[in-house]
Amino acid sequence: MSDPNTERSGAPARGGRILVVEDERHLAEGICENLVAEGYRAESTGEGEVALQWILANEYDLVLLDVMLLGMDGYTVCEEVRKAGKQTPILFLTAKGSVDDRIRGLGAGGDDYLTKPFHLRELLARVQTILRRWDWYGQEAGGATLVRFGENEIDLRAFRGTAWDGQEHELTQKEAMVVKALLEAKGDVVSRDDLLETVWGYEVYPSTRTIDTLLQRLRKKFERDPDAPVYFITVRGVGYRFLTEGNES
Amino acid sequence: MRAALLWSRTRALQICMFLLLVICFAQVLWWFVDQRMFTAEVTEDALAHYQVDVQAAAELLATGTSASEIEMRFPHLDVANGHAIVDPAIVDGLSHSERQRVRRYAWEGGFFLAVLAMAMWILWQTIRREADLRLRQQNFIAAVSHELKSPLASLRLTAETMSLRGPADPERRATLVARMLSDTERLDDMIHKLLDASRLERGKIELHPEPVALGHIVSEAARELKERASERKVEIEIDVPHELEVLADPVAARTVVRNLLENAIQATAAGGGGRVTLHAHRTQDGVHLEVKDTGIGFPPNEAKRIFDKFYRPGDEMRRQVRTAGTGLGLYIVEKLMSGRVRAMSLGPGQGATFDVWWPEAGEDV
Repeated sequence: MSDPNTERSGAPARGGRILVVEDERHLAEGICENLVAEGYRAESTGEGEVALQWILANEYDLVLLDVMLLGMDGYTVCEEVRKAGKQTPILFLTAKGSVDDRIRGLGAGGDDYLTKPFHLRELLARVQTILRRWDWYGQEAGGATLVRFGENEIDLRAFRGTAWDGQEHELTQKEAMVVKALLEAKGDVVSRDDLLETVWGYEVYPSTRTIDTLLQRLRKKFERDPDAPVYFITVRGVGYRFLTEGNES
Repeated sequence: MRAALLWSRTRALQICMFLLLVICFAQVLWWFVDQRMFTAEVTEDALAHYQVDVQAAAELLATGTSASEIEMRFPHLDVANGHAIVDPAIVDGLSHSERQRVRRYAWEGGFFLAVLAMAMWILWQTIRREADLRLRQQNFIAAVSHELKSPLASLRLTAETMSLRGPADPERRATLVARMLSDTERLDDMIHKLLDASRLERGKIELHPEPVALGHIVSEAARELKERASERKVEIEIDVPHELEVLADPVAARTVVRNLLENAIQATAAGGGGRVTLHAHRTQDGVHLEVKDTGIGFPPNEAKRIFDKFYRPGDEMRRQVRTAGTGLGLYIVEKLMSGRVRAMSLGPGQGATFDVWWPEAGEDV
């Protein structure tokens, strides 16, 4: 197992603090060395419980998470992180590569899934993509972290929203990212493919139905009548648009 | 997840069987009560019919008919002192017949229920064993997949690192090469275990016992695993007199000692480090080798199951030990020792002791 207290850093300062949760010492060392060579800061642990504590106590830009771990399994770690309201991006890196395993990983709140043995270049590319996407999300959309539409309000930083009926809602990372992507379009239509590309980056989900389901969830949270939405509007056959003023017509 | 699904299906099947048994039991109980009521009714009907005859006999007596004539017409009645009553022997006969029928129904119902319960129990056990085997096979597949893919992934990663990062300095190159060799060794070890288990299963391994120096085998295994042990903060202590010679197949004995030591190191490492002691001594039934660790231990009731093929404690995803194997190491030990092996533990966290014994060389076998 990797030394849990290991932290490696190196130039060039591409930035990004990455936690590698992997109980195979050689793999953890190899991954950390390569991340450091790419300019990231990397730490590693092989224990599920320790990983959970570290993720909750620190601000990582990305977590590479194995599934079969000592003590607590990777899926549970991910679920606990999301339950605690942390939206740190998580990339599952595991020998378990069946469709069921992938669905479980992504359902637990993972952002991406890579099976062992993997290509180093692919791993580095995925790391870069997730961090880029996270950077994009971190940039304020038109200076706004608070999005107000009608009597609703969404705090993109806190991943929370208050609906027209005063009810508080937690937003998943993907829901918040979709809101941001739609908001940046300033009322223009955003296609489903563009949303997938912007928010998911890789084709980890099998179809654009995922977007439809996610929009349904947003409507249920923030629309007075989810069947007749005025903010999250479907443009048939194309995609979606977000109208902060509402579509009363 | 699949394991949970498998268990929930098994549980559902078992619950269905239990419900079926309860329904059958209720049905038999109802049948028995119904038969009993029917038999009682038949007896009461017969007695009521006889009472009508008693009244008719009383009327005949009043008209002056003789007692003998009445007894001839109603053979089930006794006429004495100008009164007619139902013959007590007949009443007793009816009661006896009723009791006999009830007893027969009770036996028939009980027998039916016993057969049903036995059939259900056999089915219950079969389903449980089947589910257990499937779970162990799933564990095995998950473990093999992890144990093969992890060193493979590490090998590829190291090779790609060397290719991507260009020529490394000699020290760094030596580290990367050592990592690759260690991964290769792990793969090799894994494949050997799989092949050994397969051969043992097919009965393809022939053992040729000969005098073997136990101390030498133990030292050799400890030397091979010393680095792995110290990496995991496990100390190995050996107390095996050099003069001890056992009658064993040398290859099998080496495999047994190595597998036991590997298992003890893994269990100790999982507990955060500690000590593994190998102690050998003579007894009446041969030479015993005790491999004692201060590791994670196991529940005492698992002492036999621990040698089952594919056995690994708990869920395949929540690994109990750092380098959990395939669940084949102890299985191979048990097969090679033909049952001359025993596992003991006071419980989880209490360490474990594995005891194997061979005939002493020079003894009559």
